[in-house]
Amino acid sequence: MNDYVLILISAALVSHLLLQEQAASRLRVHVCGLACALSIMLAVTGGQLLEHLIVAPWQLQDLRMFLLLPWQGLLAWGIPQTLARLRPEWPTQSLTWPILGNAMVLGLTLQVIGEQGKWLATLSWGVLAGLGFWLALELFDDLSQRSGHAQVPEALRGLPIALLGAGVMVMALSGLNGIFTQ
Amino acid sequence: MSRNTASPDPRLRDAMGLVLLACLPGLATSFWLLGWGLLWSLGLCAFTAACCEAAALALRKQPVTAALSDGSALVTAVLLALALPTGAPWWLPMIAAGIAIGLGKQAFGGAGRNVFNPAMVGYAFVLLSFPLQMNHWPAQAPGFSDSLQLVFANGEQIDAWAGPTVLDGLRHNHSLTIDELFASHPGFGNFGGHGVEWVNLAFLSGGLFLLQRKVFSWHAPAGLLAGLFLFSLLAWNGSGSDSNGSPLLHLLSGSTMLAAFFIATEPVSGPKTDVARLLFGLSAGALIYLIRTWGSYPDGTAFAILLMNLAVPFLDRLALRYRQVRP
Repeated sequence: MNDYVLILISAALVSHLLLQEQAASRLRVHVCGLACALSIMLAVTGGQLLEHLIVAPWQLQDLRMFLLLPWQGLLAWGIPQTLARLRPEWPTQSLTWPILGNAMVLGLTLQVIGEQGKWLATLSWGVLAGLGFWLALELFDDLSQRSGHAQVPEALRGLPIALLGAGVMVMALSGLNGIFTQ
Repeated sequence: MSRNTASPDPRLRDAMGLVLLACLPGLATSFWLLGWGLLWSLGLCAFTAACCEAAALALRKQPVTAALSDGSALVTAVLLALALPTGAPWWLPMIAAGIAIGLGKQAFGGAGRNVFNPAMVGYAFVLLSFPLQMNHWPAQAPGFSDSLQLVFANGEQIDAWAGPTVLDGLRHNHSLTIDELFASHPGFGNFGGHGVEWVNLAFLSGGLFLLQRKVFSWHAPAGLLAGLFLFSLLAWNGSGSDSNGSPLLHLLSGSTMLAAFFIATEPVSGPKTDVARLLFGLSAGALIYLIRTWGSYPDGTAFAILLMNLAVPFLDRLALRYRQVRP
């Protein structure tokens, strides 16, 4: 559980910092969260499908990454395109990098494939991790808005306070350790 | 403005004074139950909190005396001392208080700006970093010299005096029924934890005094108690050996009343509207029960409050929408 939480928070923090480079509106954070959540769900389930259809029958375990990385690239290109078509008013520009650089997408896919679980478990992991990532990104946005004021010591403004906030967030989430492994 | 001459906010100072006054019944009962260790812990927390606050303010060129005299650092220290095990070595309360003030309060901008409850940041930090020392609850209140030795001589022969709490006992029980646990386990009292039930009632009386003086609204404490009661009632599986504990046991064990009236009501890191406060309390109560019963820690107050601190903007937005759609 702790491993997953750490990966999830780290990935959300990186995405949050990428979003911070431009003036991120609330809608942009929502759209990025949704896009990343979709990419995690599809990457995990698609990765499992690739494992069953191609990797396992052809015994290509050593070349697994050559299939998963293009799959992640395809998702990083396709999901923003699809969202832009479905909702033209949404700010879907430059979402490719937050999805492509999302460690959660590839990390969770490899983890789930390695465990060789059942389809329902794979789907559950994908959905839960996707929603968890979205939630973590929203929490980071709220946290940075609450800590983005002039009273924060000058040396801690920006990235340092975001990292400190992430540390406290991980501490808080550690309290849930053990609950999901019953 | 001179660094040391600005006066503190009188409303904040009065509120902190009332909170400290309301802590007295709980402090006195805890002292009766836990002995001198509580006073050492309180002194160490207060000293470190004051030093860290002063150092941080001096570094930031802010008024030191005014900020120290508002009493907020002392309240943080008292809450920490009440939550920390009284048999813990001397450095543990100092680290907890330093983290609470440094990371929980001053890093985010000081009084009135903290995003998280400072006392709970310090508590969670030491709980995760020093889990062994955080179990040093004495089975019986040690005397003056014994407590001095325990705290300042690094707690020699811990097994000889440390005892499991009621929540520890409940968690690790696999063979005895609840009635047998109450009859035989040293951690169990009449309704909840041995002696802890009286500590909880003392904090309840202090909390009711604060409610009567309108220091905070009833929403967060009522929500927390209702959440804990409701979830422990729904998940109550009888009094067998696999029991999760009755609602009354959960209400009168651990730090329930302290959390409900003194921690969940912290105004800065908590929600700003009544509906959001009610939701905050309900969710915190549910999380406390979830962590106590199925998590890895016997009492999840600190984690529950920190998690709910993260959700405060969402709760405030939700309450705002509720207000807009309400006819």
